[in-house]
Amino acid sequence: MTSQPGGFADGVGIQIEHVSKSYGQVLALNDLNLKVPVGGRFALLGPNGAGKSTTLKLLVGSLRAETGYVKILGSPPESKEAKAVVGYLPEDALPYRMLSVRENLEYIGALRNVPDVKGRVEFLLDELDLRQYERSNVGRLSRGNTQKLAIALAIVHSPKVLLLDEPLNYLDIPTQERVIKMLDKMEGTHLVSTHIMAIANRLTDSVVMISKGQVLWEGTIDELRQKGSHEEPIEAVVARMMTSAP
Amino acid sequence: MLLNLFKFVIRTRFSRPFLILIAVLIVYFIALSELVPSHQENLILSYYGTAIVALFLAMSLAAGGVMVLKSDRDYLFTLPLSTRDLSLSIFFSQFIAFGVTVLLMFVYLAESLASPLLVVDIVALALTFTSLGIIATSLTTRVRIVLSIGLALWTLLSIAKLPLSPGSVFNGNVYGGTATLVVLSAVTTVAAFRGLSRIELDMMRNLVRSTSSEIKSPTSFAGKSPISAIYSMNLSSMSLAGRMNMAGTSRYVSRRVKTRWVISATSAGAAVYLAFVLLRGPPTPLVAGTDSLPAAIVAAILLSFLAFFFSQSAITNERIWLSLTSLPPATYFRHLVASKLISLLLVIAPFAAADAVLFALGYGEALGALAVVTFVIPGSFVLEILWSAYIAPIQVKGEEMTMPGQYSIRQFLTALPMILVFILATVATLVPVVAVAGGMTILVVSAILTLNRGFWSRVEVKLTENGFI
Repeated sequence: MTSQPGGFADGVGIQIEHVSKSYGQVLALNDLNLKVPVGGRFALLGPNGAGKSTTLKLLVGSLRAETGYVKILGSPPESKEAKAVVGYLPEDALPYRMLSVRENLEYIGALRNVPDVKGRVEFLLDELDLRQYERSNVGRLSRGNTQKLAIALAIVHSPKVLLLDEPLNYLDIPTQERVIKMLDKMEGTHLVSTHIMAIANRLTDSVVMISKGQVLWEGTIDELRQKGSHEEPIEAVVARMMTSAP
Repeated sequence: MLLNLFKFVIRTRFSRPFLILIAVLIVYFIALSELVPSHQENLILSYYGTAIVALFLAMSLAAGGVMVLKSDRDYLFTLPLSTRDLSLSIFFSQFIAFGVTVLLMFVYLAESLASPLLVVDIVALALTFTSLGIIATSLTTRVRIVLSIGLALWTLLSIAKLPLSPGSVFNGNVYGGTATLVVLSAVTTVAAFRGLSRIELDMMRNLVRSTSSEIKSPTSFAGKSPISAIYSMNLSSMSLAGRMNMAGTSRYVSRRVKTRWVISATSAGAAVYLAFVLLRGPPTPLVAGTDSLPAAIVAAILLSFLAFFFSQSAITNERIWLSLTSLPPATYFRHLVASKLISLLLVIAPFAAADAVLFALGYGEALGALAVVTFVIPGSFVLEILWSAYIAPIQVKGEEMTMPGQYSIRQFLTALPMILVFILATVATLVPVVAVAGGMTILVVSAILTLNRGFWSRVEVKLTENGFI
């Protein structure tokens, strides 16, 4: 790896080294290794139960690795340094349901010490078309609007490392396009967990395929496409690779 | 078919170990009640019995709901089943959950009722608790609150010797009280069955009724530091949450209320309490050789339960993907607990002031209640937050109308510290030094745990592994 601006260790945005994690008898991650360079846009693909969500939870420090280690821009995920630079959107994310849309954004902005919280909140309300709901009780929002708010909350502090789990779930097509454009404009390292190849294709340029808690394949989307025949859809290539995994 | 439906409904709502535990407890308590002699002269038990029944009747209605899972709405209700069979099976599972509440009080009720109609009274109470929970689903929040207060007052009036009240069985009017309970249980059970036959419609109506709500006076967090934002969030408004019965969970409810409104309500309650004690005259000898203030005992017990419901909302409404990715868990949770404790102290302060006034006016017996309010309740509040976060955390995610999960032994265990607090408060209202010593011990234990980084780190992992988002 080459050195990157900002002085981050080895230019590595996300680093997972020999990580294992189990839930009781179930081994979720088995000696997982993964590196995403600073500025990299990676998709985390894998079948159900592959360990995608567990990987993201380890990266934000909600779970602890049993072996190995995890680093975000050179710092452990539970450190203040890592928390300051990470933005995280879990699958089916739920904001504080008894606060309004604006209160949620201001509260998390304040917790994250965002300078000019008000200005940032105004920007996000407009950018994600949430202005008309700013006083609404979040517990009463539609699932689509809740997802828009969740995305806004994940990026309220303009994170350098963004971890997204199925970010386009529940969004209508115009909103999907709006979110894709917005994420595209953002700088930083992105790791997007998804089942849908089309989303990986729009949001990222590289793929890490995992299965049974281990990396199955890693490369660019173009390299992945080349693994199939000319007419073969990329989804079929991915399916073949996943099902033929040992 | 009905039997299969019963089995299915019960197994999907209760874990098998929990059902076994309940069976064991029923046998144990029945045997115990046969062995323990009755204490007909013990007036303290009468006051406690009245207070608990008043509270449980009010809570069943105010925070009640039907034991319906989301998957019931998606699958079970769409099957071609008889409405009568479905209603019966849901009512029966609800009866098991509420029966546990009565079971926990069983020995105590047996002691305090001292009635030849004991079994009738207990069954009638269990049916009424069960039915009120179901009826609550079809009522608006305002109607539920008004009816709950009415039911509680009606029950408490039995202390003033009202012969026909749900609490009269505890206060010397055995037959009038039993007749009231039987009529009340019959009326509420019929209403509950009528409600169950249209439960799906009522749940949908409730859902639609609340979709347009807006926050009328929002709190601004802009320009605040992380720590002051936490205090601002928890001091400006309070969230009340609770399992719909004390013994465990069948549904969580949570409401956001401005703290100043809660303080106004407790101030009014404290004023009524003060006036009641002053008008009723000198303290009453409840136990041989000891004078006491029954109203102070009732107030202390009711405040203990209020604190329990506040404590349950501390973690259940948390969003760890936002809070714990912003701040280290120990930092966030310490300030969260501290801010919740301050808001609780503000809410119960009017009662502490009323006890202090009574003590200053020469009612030495108010000292016990003052010590309970000042030491036992705050300590137990913090301990309950830590205990429920560690033992059986449940997150309110969205579907408030349905059960968040299966009713298990872990859920049952969350109520255990409440029983200890209840016993401590009982003794402490009579012996103030016990309140100070007990309350301080709980506070020290709670403080040690709250300041321990490793504890919160483990809580974070536990919350994540329990499905918290």
